[in-house]
Amino acid sequence: MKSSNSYLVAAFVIAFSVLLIIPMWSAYGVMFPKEGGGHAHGAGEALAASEFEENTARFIEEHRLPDGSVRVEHGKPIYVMAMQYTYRPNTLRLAAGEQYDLRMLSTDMVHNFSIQMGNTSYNAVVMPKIVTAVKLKPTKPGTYLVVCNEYCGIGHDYMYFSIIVEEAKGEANHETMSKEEHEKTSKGQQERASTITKDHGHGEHK
Amino acid sequence: MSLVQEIGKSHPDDQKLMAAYGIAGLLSLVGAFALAAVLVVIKTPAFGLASGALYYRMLTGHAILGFVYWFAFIQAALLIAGATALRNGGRLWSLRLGWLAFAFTTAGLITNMVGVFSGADVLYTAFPPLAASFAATPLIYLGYLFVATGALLITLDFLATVLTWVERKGSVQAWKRMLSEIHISTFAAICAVPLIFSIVLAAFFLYVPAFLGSFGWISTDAKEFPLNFRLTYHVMFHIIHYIPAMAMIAVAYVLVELTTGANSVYRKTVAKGLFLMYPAVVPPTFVYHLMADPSIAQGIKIIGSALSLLVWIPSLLHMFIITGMMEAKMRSSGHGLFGWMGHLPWKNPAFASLIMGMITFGIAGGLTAVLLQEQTASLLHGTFAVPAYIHPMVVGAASLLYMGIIYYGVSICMKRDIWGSVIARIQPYLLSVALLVFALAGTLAGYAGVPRRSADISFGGRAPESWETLMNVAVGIGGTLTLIAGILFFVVIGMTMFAGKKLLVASELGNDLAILEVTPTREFVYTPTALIPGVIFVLVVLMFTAGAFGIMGNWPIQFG
Repeated sequence: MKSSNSYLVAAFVIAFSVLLIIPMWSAYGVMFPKEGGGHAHGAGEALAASEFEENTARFIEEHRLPDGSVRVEHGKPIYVMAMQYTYRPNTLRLAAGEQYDLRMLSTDMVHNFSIQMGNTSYNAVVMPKIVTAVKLKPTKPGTYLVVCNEYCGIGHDYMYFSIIVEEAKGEANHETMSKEEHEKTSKGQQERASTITKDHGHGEHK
Repeated sequence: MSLVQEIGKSHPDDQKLMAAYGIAGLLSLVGAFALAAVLVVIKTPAFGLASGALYYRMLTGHAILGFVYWFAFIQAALLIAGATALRNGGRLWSLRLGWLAFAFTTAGLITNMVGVFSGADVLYTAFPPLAASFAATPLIYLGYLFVATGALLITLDFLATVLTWVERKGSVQAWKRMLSEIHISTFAAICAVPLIFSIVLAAFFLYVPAFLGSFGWISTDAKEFPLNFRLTYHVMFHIIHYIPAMAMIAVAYVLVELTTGANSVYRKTVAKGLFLMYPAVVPPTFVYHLMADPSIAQGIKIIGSALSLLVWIPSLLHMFIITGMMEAKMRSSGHGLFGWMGHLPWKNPAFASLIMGMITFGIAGGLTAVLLQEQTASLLHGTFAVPAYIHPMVVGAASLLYMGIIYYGVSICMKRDIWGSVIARIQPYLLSVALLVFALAGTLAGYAGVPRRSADISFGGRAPESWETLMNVAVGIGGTLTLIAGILFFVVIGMTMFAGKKLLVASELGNDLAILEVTPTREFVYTPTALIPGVIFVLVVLMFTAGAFGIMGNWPIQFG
């Protein structure tokens, strides 16, 4: 029986045309690292947890507002430390239209930075010893929930924090998130995390 | 001689070993479904019963039973079938080694389950340093060492069997003759051997130090152990995925022959050559699981993304050949361009498993597009989109095809007709549709940002409103329907074993599994319709990629 191999050739051409995705990468301008800094979750520098903790503590001290949230100035790096089952700082305030350098490190397990933006999210792994470096530029004011989506222990569900994007410079509104709401976020979360730590006996963190 | 007669000629002792593996596999699958029922209750927001402590234990047990043991057992059975049932009554090299391998795998199952139910809430990944928080973790590592040993021994037995097929081992011609004679599916099993050995090697590399380290017998602190573990784990875990991918396609080649009597219109060396692509392209593409990790350089991720696109190619071409086998066979009796499809044996449960498994495989494969590209992975990494594609892939495709071959295996080996024809006819369609509901709503949930492994997705009332609805549909409806389809399968197979009507002539199957009668009226060797699924697949993955870039371009916070 002699078959028609032209259909087989056509099948090979069709199958290999999935490679058309590659020119799409350059068409969308993301095939190669962007000038001056690399892609969002590119390889980060290796760093000791103690050094990162010091940087984070200094960063929080310098930028803390009376309500406990942290407002960041454009151009200064943001430090976020992830640990079972919380992030430090617990609330960040950014200004729309500005670009920021976000640096994250975990002090214990592998965690994640999963920021919710309505019906879509951006996700990056946050691990011990290697810094996750992300450049971000908020364009729309609002309160954005950030959750951990990498299983990190029994209290994983309660690991989240908020990023508040305020109006562009000059139009800043301190009250985007009410004081009560902020307290609810941080206290409620801390209580849940401490209950879980007591119940399950892990997570002795500073 | 028909394939049914050939399978029926396999030696009763080899059949017993296959049956032991098959039954142990089915019991593991029953366990995975039972724990899935608990997960459905916990994960469906409408029930309001989210419980973190119970959820992670059940999830750990569910994944280990389903992804590790159901596959380890059933794929060992398939390996033995490839070496005996598809070799015209040929014998396994060593039955004793086969049973030793079975004992190791069973010991692994028991050890792992004791570990899980003693409180090792570590998920199947059991990553350090998290795993160190749970006292029962060493039992997880030890169980994995047992199952890896079992896989190694049964693969060595298979390989030794293959070696017995060539008398003059130094003769290239003799090897060529043997490789061209063997069934496509047996050839596929040979191609899987280097991948299985890589998995076993990586497993020993991971779990021996992890096991010893968990007792403090060796230090795992000094050498960046958690980071190296994560990397090596993903190499192993990635390759593990492609064993069911290859085995399912190998099963599809057998099922298409058993149900329709069709043969390939293309040279068998093409199909065999495509199986050789897997050991070549699979190992280097492990990086697509680590696209959102800061530990991998971006250049490596981009190269990994480009290579990852290749992993679809052999599977797409196999689907073309298998669909083409049916098309050419059916159209040889005079049916038209699409008319042949209506005459396929849709009521044969094994055929329904084949066709629905292939459709689900194609759809789930398309859903992986965004996840395996560095440029778009950050949109879905760690979200519910991951289980939303993996479940249709491993349950709706691989397991469904295995179920199809189990219908034949039980009927041929136990010489019984299928019990409950109507239930058996419905089951493959229900399972497939259920998983497609799970996949569709689950993928939308993933796009909406629902985290993959959280029992409670309310986040203190701050989660987007759409999350609850999407998860109610994905898990509440899709998950429940999947459970029902699973129960139907277990009932049919269980009842067939004990209450199925005895077949008078062993080589003749009952009506449900009888081969389709096709009377050829012409020679027909063209396969144009078989090209259509591939075209749809390629358009879908291009569309998904463009869609992902579109969503990312409109993010209210730009990342880069």
